[in-house]
Amino acid sequence: MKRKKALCVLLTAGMIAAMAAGCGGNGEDKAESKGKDSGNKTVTIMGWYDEDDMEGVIQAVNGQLGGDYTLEYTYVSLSDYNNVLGTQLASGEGPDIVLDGAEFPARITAGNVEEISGEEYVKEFSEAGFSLASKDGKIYGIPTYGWFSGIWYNKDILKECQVELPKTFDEFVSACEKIQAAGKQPMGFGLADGDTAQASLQGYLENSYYHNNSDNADGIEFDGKFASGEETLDGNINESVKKWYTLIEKKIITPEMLGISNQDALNSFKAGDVAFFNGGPWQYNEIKETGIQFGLMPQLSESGENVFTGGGPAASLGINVNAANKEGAQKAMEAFASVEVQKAFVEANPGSPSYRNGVESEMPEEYADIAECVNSGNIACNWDRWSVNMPAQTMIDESIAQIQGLVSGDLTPDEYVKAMDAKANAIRYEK
Amino acid sequence: MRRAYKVKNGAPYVIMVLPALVIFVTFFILPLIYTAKYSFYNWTNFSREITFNGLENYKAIFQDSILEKGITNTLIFAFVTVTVQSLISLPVSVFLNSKLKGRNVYRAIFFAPAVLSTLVVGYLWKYLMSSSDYGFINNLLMGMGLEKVNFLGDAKIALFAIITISVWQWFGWSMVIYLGSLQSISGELYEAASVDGANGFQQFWHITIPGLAPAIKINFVTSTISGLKVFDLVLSTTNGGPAHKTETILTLMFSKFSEGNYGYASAFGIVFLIVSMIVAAVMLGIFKKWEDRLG
Repeated sequence: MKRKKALCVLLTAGMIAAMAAGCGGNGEDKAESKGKDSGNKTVTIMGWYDEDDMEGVIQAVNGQLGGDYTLEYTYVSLSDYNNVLGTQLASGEGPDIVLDGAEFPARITAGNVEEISGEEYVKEFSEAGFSLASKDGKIYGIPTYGWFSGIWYNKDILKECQVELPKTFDEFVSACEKIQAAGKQPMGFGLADGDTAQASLQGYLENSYYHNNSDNADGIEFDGKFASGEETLDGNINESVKKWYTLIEKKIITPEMLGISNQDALNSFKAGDVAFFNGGPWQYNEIKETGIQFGLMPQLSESGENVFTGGGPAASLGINVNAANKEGAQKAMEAFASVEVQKAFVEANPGSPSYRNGVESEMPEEYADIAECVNSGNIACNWDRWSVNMPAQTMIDESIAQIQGLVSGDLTPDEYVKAMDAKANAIRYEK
Repeated sequence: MRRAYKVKNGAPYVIMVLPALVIFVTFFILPLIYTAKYSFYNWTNFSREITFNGLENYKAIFQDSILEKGITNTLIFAFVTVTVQSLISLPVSVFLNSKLKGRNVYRAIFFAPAVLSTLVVGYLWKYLMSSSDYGFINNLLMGMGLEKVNFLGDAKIALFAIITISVWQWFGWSMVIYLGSLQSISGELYEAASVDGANGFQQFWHITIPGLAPAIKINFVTSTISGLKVFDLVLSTTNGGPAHKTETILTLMFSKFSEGNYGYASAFGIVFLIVSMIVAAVMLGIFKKWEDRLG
């Protein structure tokens, strides 16, 4: 009995010692890593871009840093990104460089990123590039590149169905009906997890409510009023939403698409089974590889004039106020602002515009129909304008969910608009 | 002297419990206390200030129409899953307790899905149930001349499609618990009942069911709690859609957390705890009465 008890005490002591050793080791590691950081070396950044896509950018940054610092990139999937970055920053931690898109204004509001207005490299970017990274005239971040979306189209299907490339929204609906009548699928949507229907509606609103609409005297300024709570969407955008709803009424967007993932929908377009697919330059390489004949056109206005397509600064880069390696982060920001790194961003996203002076992007031949719209700067989206006083991603997610309701027949366009107002009322930073 | 003796004798056991206790307190009790605390605070992603706001988060939750949907879906999921799971696993376990050829192979096959990660199972079934041209089940249905079914995209059936996946994954686990309990019921009881002229159903009702009572209780309580906690399966199949129709309490809590509204999400967590405690208490009460009746 005594021996058993002694063995028991010995084992327990061993276990506690092992645990203590583990903790001790951790502390030493921490101290060592802290020492390493203070002597320089690693600058951390996190992002939702695939590591392969970021490889050229990381190499370019490290080239600019010349061995003084090394950029360490961590991939987090887009669906988890807001959660992971948000909680890290809220607890006073997070990567040295904060990379964020529509939520960057939220990071500024929360005081998570440093003001960089006085930095020389800031002057190298056009003002439009700071739309998500400025507040009250102060600059907190620099843009990576400009993103834009549009509608991919399959040239062979259009030819086979004897359909001309549509120039107005009505022509687009007619084209879809003609393709449908020929037994082909006009549009591909993966509404189970994709935001393409939300992108389609947003594109339509940009063309037919915010611009080119005499009933909306405020133009895009309306969104400032909506963001602050002075205006509601209800009573304003309803008619435009009803017009876009034609796509659902005419079964161009169908309930069946609610059970299809975005990747499956894209695969159908790549397989040559679908005539139109909402997307953008980030899908160019994988579509090109299939060998189908395709092109990219902008979203469409009612008249075919003054066309806008969805887009804006893809993501902004700022310095974490709690950066473990602030000096390295400042050097990395200078590197990110260089022509070489900005070119690397554009190369990873063929045809995307840059906000950096001295960086030109060449558009592939497939972009001929969207080139005029992009080159004239007609790129915008409402959630960027909303983000001054509400978390834009939450509004995007809500819109995706409510559009599912429209497609399933559970909601009317008016109910969709009211639901968006209700969400905005619940999440404004300042009410 | 006596007290000193007791401490001396109990000391090794206290030391042995200590590591588990530390882990339990660190990863369960402390987070629970903090969750309860922050449910009374305005703590968001968008401000560095954390301010006390009393019951505001709770008021906001009960004004949020989607909470009702979340609670209803959670209760439906837990109730239907537990019931269907037991209705399948109980007869299967009785069947596989008989002298059937290859019964160990069947047991292994039925239990295998329980070993898989729920997320993996969810993504797999999402692919199988897809209404696209790549969906295996719909391809099968169409091959048989039937119509396509929008399993996860039709709001009327999406929740039940998720329940089906959950039952497929976990009925083997319930089966194993019933099997363990069945093997502990003495064969002499059945022999005696046979001698007394009891038929198969009477033997099942008066010997098997009372013998399985503890296993039924364990299965129902643990499966109900798992059902109330459903999150990963919904996330990987419908993500609460279409149009929030398959949201559960935990997916709503997660989305509030993702939105950066930590105080509000904490209040959701506390509401979930209270709902779970009420359901567990009701179930335990029902089972206690049933066991008392069985004697």
